[in-house]
Amino acid sequence: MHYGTVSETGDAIEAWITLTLVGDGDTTVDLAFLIDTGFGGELALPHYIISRLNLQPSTRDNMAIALADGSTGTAGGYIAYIMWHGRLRSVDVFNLECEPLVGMDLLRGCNISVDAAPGGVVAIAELPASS
Amino acid sequence: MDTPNKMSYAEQKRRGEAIYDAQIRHRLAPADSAKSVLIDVISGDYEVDDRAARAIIRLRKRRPEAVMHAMRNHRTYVGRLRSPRRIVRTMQAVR
Repeated sequence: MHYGTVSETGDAIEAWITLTLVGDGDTTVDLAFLIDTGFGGELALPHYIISRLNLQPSTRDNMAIALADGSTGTAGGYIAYIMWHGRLRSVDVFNLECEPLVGMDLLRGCNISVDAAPGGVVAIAELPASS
Repeated sequence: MDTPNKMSYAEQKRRGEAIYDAQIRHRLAPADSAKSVLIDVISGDYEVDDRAARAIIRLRKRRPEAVMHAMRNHRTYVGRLRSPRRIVRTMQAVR
């Protein structure tokens, strides 16, 4: 189970969770991620975090991305390792200059609950294996 | 980054889709078409997995210089960002 909180930013509320990234030499970094159910990938990170964690490129510079306004572009692809439900997991990372994002591919097979009010509890649990 | 990719995205996509159609598509089991197919557009080598990251790691281990193109459901895989709020912030960051 992963827990987080709902924070209030301006006039919006956002659901955040903290994940542990595992870097070189088993160093770990705890980082807050915004849960974005409109994002189809696993994780997105801005470049300054990718370079600080020394993440390795996966697809070099070319991952196609489509934004909500219909425009398309490309973004860098990287590989990161995170602790996910108590296990080390490799994840695909998009380099996007926005807040760290958790997308629906990471949440596949999970139950998400959000108490959608400032300070509310965010919880992510694994679904039973058959789901 | 430390290993800059000189190939344009258009060229990577063209090569990736051509290799997929000619050499990979007919070999995939029907159940595998929905999985991530990562293709090295230089060598034509590829990996299939439920999760893109695992395919990328295996292919990178075998082909350290790979230029990879991702396919899923017989199409080029496109990461989608649908939340309008995110668009605004992403565009501000790019400017």
